[in-house]
Amino acid sequence: MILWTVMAATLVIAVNLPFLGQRVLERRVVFVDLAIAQVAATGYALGMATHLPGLFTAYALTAVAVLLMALMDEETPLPKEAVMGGVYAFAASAGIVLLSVLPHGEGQLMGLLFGSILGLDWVGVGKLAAFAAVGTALAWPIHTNTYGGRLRFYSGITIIIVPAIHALGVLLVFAYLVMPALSVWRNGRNGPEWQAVALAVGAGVVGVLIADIFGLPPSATVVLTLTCVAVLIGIVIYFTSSKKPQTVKKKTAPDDEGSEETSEKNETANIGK
Amino acid sequence: MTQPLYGCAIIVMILAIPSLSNAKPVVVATVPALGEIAKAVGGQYINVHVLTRSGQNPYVFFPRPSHVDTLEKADLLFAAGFGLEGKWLPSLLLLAENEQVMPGSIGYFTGEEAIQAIGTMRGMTSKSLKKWSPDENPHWWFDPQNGIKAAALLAIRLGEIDPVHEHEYLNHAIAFRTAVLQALPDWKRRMESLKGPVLTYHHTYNYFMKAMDVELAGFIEPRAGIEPSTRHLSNLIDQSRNKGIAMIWVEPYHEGAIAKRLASETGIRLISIPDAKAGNTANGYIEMFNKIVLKIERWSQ
Repeated sequence: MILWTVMAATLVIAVNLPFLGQRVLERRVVFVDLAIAQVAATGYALGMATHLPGLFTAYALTAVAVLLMALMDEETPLPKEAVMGGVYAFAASAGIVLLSVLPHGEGQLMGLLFGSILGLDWVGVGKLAAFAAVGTALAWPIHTNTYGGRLRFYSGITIIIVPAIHALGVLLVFAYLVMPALSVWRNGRNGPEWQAVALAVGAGVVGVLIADIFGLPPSATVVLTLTCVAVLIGIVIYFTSSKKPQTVKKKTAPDDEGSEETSEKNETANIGK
Repeated sequence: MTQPLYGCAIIVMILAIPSLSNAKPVVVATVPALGEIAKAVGGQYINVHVLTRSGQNPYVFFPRPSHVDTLEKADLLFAAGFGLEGKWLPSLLLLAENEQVMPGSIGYFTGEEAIQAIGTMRGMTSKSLKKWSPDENPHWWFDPQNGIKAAALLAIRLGEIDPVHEHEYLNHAIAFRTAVLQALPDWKRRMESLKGPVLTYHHTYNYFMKAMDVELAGFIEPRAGIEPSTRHLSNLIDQSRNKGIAMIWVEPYHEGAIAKRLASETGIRLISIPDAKAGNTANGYIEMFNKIVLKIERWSQ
C-alpha cells in the first residue's frame, strides 16, 4: 500500500514537473519554486500566529507575491535569480520571526517546507494530481512575455509547486523541476519534452523500487536515481547533438516581441555547426 | 561639599550588602522538565530559567541573544547531556563566556553525572532495529527514578554553590523523592489500562515505557531526521495487524503526515505525549507524569 502511493505520487510529479521545468529554464527563473514555496510557508505561519486558517493566509500571501513577481519583465536588466533569492530570504526570515512566538515554531516551519512522500494517502495523491493538472495547464502553454503571460505562468507554477512541496518536500520537487529539463537541454535550448518526461518517469519508477528493495529513504533515493539517469542521458545527448544538432523551436506567441527572431537565429547557428 | 557625597556612598554600600547576600543562585535548565526538577530542589532559594519551551524540539533550537544573557548570569547549568543539546549548547556556552558553567566546572551539571543511560536502537529495517547502537538515549527524565537520582545530585551541587541553604536543598530533594515514589504506584496501576505494545516516532519515550512496563513495538522514524523506507512502514502496518499495537505516541513536534498516515491506515490511535507541565516545588515534574498517564488512560478506554 505504502509503496503504491509513493509510486503514484512520484509519477504525478514525474509527468508534470518536467514540462514546467522547461518553461522555468527558458525563463531563467530556477529559484522561483523555492521562493514561492517559502512565501506559502510564511503564509501558513502567519495563519498560525494570527489564528486564521493557514491555507487562506498561505494563498493570500502567495497571490500577492505572484502579482508582484509578474511585474518583472523577462528582459529586465535585474538578475532574476537574485530577485528570487531575495524573495526567498525575506519570506524565510519573516516566517522564522512569526513562528518564534509559537512553542514549537522551528519544527513547524521545517514541517511546512519539508513534507514527506510517505505521508500521502490516495486522497492526497488525487489532490496532488488535480493541482498538477491545473498548474501544468496554466504554466505550460505558449511562452509570452506580457504581464498576463507572466501572471499565468507564475500562477500555474504556484498551483502545482505549493501543494507539491507541502506534500512531498522541497528535495523531490526541485529535483523533478530542473533535472529532467536540464538533462535534455541541448545547444542552449530546451530539448524534446517527451524525452524529459520519459527520463523522469523511468528514474522515478526505478528509484522507488530501489528504495523499497533496499529499505532506503524513498525521496532521497529517487533524487539520486534521477540524478544518475539525468547525467547519463545528458552526456549521451551532449555527444550526439554535437554531431547532429537537434533544436526545438521555443514556443512563442505573436506578442513575445523579438524572441521568435532570436530563436530563428539560434537555429541557424546550430545548423551551421 | 564632599561630606554629603561620602554619606550617600556609605548608605548605598550598606543597602547593597543585604541585597548581595540575598542574591539567589541562578539555575539555567535546557529543557522544561529539568527546570521543574531544579525548582523542586531549589524551591524559593534559587531562580530558574529554562532555555527551550514545552513542546519544542530540543535537538533543533536556535538560541537568541537573550539566551546568551541568561547563561551569562547563571550559577549552574542543568543539561540533559548524552548529546541532546550537542548541536547548540557548546556554541551558546562559548558566547556566554561564563567560567562558572563551563564543562568541568562546579556549575555545569548534566544527567551524565547522575544516571546510567540506555542505548538507542539503530537500523532502518525491522530486523536491524533489534540491534542497539552505542549512542545513549538522552531522554532520561521520562523515568521517575532517574528524576529522583538527578534531583539528589543536583541538591548536593546546589549546596556547594550556595552553602547557606545546603540543608534546605537536601531536604527538598528528599521531599521530591518521597512525592515521586508516592505517585509512582498509581501511575503504574493506571498505565495497566493500556493493552498492547506501543509504536513511537523516535526513542523519546523509551525510559517512560521501561519504567511503566510498556512494550515497544517499534519506531516510525528509526533514525532521527532520516525518512523511513516504504518497506519499514509496510512492516509496521503488518505488525500492527498481527501484534495488536495499542497506540502510536509522538512528540508534540512530530505529529506530522507520516504518523497520521500510519494511524489512518491501521486505525490505531495517535496521541501526542506532553513533555512538561509548569508547577512549583515538586508539582511540575509530577504533574508532567499525571498529564501523560491521564492522556494515555483516557485514550485507552
